[in-house]
Amino acid sequence: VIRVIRVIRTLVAGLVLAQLALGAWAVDMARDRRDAPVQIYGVAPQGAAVRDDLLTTPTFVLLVGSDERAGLDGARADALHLVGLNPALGRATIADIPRDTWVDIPGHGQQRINDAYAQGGVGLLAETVFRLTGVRPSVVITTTFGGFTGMVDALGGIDVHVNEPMDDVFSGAKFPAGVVHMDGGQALAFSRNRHIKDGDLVRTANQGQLIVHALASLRARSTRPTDVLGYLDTLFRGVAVHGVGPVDLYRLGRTALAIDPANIRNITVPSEIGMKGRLSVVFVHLPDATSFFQDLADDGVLQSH
Amino acid sequence: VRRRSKGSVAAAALALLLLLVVCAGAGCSDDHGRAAKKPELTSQRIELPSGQIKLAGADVVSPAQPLRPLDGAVAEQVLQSVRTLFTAASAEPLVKGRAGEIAPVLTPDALAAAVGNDRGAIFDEGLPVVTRLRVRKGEVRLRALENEAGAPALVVAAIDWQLVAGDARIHRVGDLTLVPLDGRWVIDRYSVFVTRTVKGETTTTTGATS
Repeated sequence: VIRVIRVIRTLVAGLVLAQLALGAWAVDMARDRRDAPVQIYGVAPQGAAVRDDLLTTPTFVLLVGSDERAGLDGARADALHLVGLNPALGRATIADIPRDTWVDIPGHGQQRINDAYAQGGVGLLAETVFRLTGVRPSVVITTTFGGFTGMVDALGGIDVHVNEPMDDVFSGAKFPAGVVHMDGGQALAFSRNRHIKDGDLVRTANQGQLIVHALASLRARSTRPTDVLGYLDTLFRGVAVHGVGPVDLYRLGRTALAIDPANIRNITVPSEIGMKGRLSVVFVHLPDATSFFQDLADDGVLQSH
Repeated sequence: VRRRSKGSVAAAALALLLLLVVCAGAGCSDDHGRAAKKPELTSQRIELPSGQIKLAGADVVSPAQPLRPLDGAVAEQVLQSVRTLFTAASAEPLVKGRAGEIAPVLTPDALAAAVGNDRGAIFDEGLPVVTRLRVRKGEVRLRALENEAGAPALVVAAIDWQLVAGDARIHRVGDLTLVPLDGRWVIDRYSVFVTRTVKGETTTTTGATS
């Protein structure tokens, strides 16, 4: 009888281990499939009941601009911003993550962070950002070149403060220093220009600045609910949203527009440009980056940076 | 001759009766001081101004397709809830001297705020009672938001109302956000700005849910 019990125990233990191994393998497979359904970890699926926590607790939104366009395979995340919203404090932080940041992509080894999107879509990108920052985004919003320019044009353009004059034939960015009213194509060129001092670092900061200017433009126009719904109509035409349904997105939008742009901090993750073999990459600057992310993670607002 | 005079008397009496009825319906009487004497007449007239709260437009925002007109049945249901608020919070206090019941068209949280801190913005109370309430402007513009299933999940009603109640001029603008609840559309959030001018003196009151 004792032998039989031992055999059963061994069998049960073996089955449990096999199930765990299969589960882990299935998760890895799901992550590797670019078209797999997106599961943003720790987030209610789309269509879930309205989430009141979005309006009361710090919320992290990952904004992704991809270079996806006709004739291009394996679109990469060219713009990557982790936005922390703190409704209670009325403050927000835009943490700009350079696209060339050298990171460990789960299941794919060390690569530039923008490759995570090409290899595993939104799910893998969000997981990679979590591994880097310790912050799990609740919402991921992705757009493309066409989506971005369409949105800016639909809003009638935006006023952007250009810090340094630009004249770049590659991106088409040609602007004097100062406030420039940009249409969609110009805003895209401004956000893509990396032929400037500190290249990728300043480019990502410019993208963050563009987000602040866009929010300021909308806020100055109107924050009435009917108008916010109108902005949402424009947004729906230009982005894909993961992690929340339309109603939560509307409420999140109202929360974001309630924040004074003066209380939005746009800051690039502490990092420096370097080389990995023949690749130009960006290394996060340790230990500054570690304390930066810890500071951001607790309430979406930077206190010590 | 007798027949003719009987017929003339009957015709005159009928004409007089018709005149009285028409005058009563059209509000020929003086606005001031009659409400207390004839409350049954004033309660009938409340129906008239609420009908002048009308749709000025209704569209729907959807993740699936561009802006398009809102389904007429939904728009009508939402309008009915907005009219109920108007009647109970504005018309009845002005004509009857006391507010009606707004609970059926608000969520519990919104109701608590409306009858609490925001009472001054939601209800037109404390003004002289009149027998006739005129709606100079009664616009309601609706914009709905669809969920992923294609059903309206919320509707924002942008209101712009101008009322004349005797010597009082009331201008109320704001946004009411309605959500479906037990087969009805109820106000879940609001933001209202009211300007009241009585005998040249203007006061403004605001009320909004957090």
